[in-house]
Amino acid sequence: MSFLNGVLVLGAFAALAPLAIHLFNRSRFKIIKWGATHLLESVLRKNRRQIQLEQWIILIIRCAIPILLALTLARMVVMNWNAFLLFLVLPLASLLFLIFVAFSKTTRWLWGLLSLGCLLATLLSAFGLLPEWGKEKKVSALSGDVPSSTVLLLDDSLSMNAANGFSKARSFISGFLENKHKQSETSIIQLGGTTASLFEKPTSDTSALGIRVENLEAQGDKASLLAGLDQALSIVSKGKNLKREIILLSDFRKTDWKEWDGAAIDAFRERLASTPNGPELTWVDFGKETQKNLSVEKIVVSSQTVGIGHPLRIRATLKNLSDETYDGNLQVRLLTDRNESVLDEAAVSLGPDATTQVSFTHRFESAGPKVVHIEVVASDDLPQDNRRSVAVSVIEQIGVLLVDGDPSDEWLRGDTDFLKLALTPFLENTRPGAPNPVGSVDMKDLIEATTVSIGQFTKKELLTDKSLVVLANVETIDPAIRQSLELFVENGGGVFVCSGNRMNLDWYNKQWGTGGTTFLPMPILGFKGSLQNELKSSNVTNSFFEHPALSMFNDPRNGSLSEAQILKWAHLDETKARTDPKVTVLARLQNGNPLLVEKKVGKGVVMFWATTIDTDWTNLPARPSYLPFVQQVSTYLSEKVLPPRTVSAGLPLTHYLTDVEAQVEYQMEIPNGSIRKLIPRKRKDRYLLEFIDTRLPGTYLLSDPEKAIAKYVVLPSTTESILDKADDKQIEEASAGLAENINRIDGRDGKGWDAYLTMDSRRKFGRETWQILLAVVLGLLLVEVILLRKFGRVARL
Amino acid sequence: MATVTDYLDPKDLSRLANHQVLAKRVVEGFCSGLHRSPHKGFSVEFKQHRAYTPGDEIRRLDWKVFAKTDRFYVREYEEETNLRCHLLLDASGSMAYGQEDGLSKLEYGSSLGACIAYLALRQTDSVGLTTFDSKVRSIVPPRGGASHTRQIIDLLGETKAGEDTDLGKVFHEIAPQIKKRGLVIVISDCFGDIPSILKGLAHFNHAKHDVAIFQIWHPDELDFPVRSWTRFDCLENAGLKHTVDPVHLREAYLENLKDYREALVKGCHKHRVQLFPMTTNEPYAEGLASFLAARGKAGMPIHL
Repeated sequence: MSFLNGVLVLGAFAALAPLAIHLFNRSRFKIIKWGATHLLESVLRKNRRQIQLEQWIILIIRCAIPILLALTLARMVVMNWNAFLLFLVLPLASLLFLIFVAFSKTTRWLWGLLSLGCLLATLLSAFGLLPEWGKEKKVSALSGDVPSSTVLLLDDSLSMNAANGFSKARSFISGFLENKHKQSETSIIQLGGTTASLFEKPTSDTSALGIRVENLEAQGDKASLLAGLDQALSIVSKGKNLKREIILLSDFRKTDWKEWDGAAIDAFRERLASTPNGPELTWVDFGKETQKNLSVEKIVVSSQTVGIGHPLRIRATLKNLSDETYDGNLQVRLLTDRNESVLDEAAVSLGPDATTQVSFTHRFESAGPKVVHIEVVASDDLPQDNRRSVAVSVIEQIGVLLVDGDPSDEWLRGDTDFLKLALTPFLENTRPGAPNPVGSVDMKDLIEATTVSIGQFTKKELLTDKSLVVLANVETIDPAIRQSLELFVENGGGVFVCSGNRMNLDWYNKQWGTGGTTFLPMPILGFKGSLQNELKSSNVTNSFFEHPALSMFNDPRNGSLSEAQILKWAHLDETKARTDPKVTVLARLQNGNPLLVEKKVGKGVVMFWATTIDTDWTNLPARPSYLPFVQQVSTYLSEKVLPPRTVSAGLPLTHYLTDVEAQVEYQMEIPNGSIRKLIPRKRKDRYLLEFIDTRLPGTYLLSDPEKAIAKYVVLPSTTESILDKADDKQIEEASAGLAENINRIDGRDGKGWDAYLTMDSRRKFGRETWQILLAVVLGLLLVEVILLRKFGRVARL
Repeated sequence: MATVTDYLDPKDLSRLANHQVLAKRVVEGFCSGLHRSPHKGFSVEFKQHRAYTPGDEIRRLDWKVFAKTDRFYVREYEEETNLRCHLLLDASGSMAYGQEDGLSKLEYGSSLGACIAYLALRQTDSVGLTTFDSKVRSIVPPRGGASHTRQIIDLLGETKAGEDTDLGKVFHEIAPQIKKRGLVIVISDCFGDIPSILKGLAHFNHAKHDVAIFQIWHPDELDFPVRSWTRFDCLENAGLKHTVDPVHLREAYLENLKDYREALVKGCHKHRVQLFPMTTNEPYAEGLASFLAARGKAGMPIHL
């Protein structure tokens, strides 16, 4: 016997109320001096026992009603139906015979005997002294006859496509929905990547569930098994039916079953054990052993942002997860966007359980968001991982003016030499006298950089067609050009001020500090560090960069700024800037001093680099991260920088907007074809669009009412390509930690549903009793009313 | 000291003014009145003619006057008898019921008795009063005259509810003391053993007395309106107490009451005793008026 709402059993204590009231009334009586005592006495003398019997009957009924009502509300469930009926019927029969005793005269003894007999039988049954009564037996209700509350955990990770595992799982679900009891309720949770429920609440609408399941695809990332089990337990524990079950439909790949958090397993087990009327667990295996799988494991591009006509180098890593050998006959294709015509092809060799790389180069002829695909042409067990993509942005060229505060004719001695080299690597390599001229390859840089000395920086015409001005170690600015420069920034341009030994701090603080136009982000207090003493040097703090100018360094593949040594730097006063919303510190040194600071001025941005942009005070120009750093900063300052377009599943997709662009409506098309609307929101001082539901790998298209404005690629986990199955021992160990008893069904041959039916036919569940108990309660209420009217009429002289 | 007005409401008296306390049967009296004499002799001196009233003996009709006048007249002699009325007032403990919320049965019966005494004395009949419970307590012998009212009233005023009842025994005790035939009016609740009561009434019958019983009830005794747990303390026996849930009793009690009343009515009818039930919530004058009117119709007994 168990209860679905166990706490309501405590209501049975209300049975003490009638008893207490009876005793209370007996003790609080009123006193009447009565004259016709002889009439009363004769009644009492003849009927005292009768009156006591009637009082006892009424009291028994009044005490029984709250007890039975408590059991009704607590939804008592019994496993042995016959025993339940016996324990209910015998006492009721005893009460009925007792009522007959009260009403009859001549046959009182007979009814009395019967009443006593029923009572005795009840007691004997309670103590198990009667044969085959009072003992737990197998339940009497067939599983199929009982409505259920079920949660189906559907593994829709990419690996389920192997050997048609996912279609078999869909067939299982179809069979389940067709055969379920009318009053059953079902939830389906997808496990690929992050868990997602098909419907908000459990539903009995079979057709709606069936339609949704039919349209599902196995495109998800690695299955979140524990999270799914947890969510399923939460749903099913609130189920309205007695029979409860969680059915896991998965391919049981090794990668899904290893490295489980022990604490999470224990927590689930504890929750399951403490759930009243906890669910049964059933695992259905759809994962066949596979022999052959090839995958494109990784794609790396030379730049996420590339100019028109500029070469984009694409390098793909291929992996052979099988024993087959490809001897120069493994075809690899390059495709772009949805145009399925092949842009380039290659044939490679690949040995068993080996990896290889293949490179392509492509030039885009038009600007805009692009997606590049690498595809392996091979027949294997999981074709879905034979293609991998990456998003690229193609942009027009950027004009940058480099003002050298300390020019030099010597190679790389000028303050802007390293910078120009990094910003225009192709151009520098082709100029005569370049150390390593590239030859006749005609390559264009994304940035067109023009260098002038400080002496030449006097005419505002130099700012024409420029998006960015870099002041490298500039002592002062000519007053005439200074105003033009300030106006240039006000109108949307960018200025990148780099420190150096020539800087006239007094001039900067006076003209561009708090005493002047406040052009600088922070006042400069002085210089710190030492060129002679390396012990006083510092490094960039290795932190997560939120700023779009540096966000690319969150991916270790793009290098690390912290590997550069900073010997000397300008010490900035950030006390007042802390409260200025226009000022942001992008990077700090390990000693906490700001290294890269920006300030919004009008529509443009001023950025201050506290050390030199050449190798005078830092070895950053000699580090691999220098080129992407200056390119990224330059493109950001030129308003050309973009947040990452290729992310892993589960990470958000972001797009920045200007104030004007924030007034427009946007939508995101996700890989399964559905459209989601996006609303711009403001974070700090800029507008952005953010899309967080990236559980499905594939291409996401962001567009405004007129055109596509960005393309994103969400990458699946590469572990989905590893189709090794978890062995039975591993599954047993993991399962044992979750629950004591789990039903296992093999669905690999497509007969999972039949096997489930066979197993289910052998299961039986307890029955609810509330209907019968409620009927008894109502019956007793009626009987009480009738008896109160009838009692007291029997006594006669 | 009780006064007449304590018992007799002038309104009630005016209402009853035209009624006569008529003895249903032949009774003996000691002065002229309206009642037939059991004596048939004509040795007394002729006094006057009186207009014939129904109930007068036919042999007393003066036919000569009839021949002359065509009207019926009876001869009245000096020895015309008057009614001798004996009031027996039950003053047992049970008659005290009702005093807590108004009028007790004893008070009601006292008012009734006072009224009957007044009427009888007014029509020059004689009235006596005997109070009793399990035994005779006080006696005022029957006498006539307006001043006798004071004695009756005084005794009524002094009478308080006493102990238990034994009507049968008391009737047996009183009956021999009433030498001459008369009207015996019992004012009681008649709580007791019915056979014993009827035996006592038979004793009166044997002495050829005209007996009427005013059975006084309190409405609660007839309706039994008690609902909650109650301890019933007997008014006649202090040690007798019953704590019960009346819900289980009422029906049986009412059945018992009905049987009791039926037995009493049957017994009274058999012994030619008029039984007139009255309840304390009804004005006694109305009940008495009904009783007297009924007696005016040639003594048909009044049914319950």
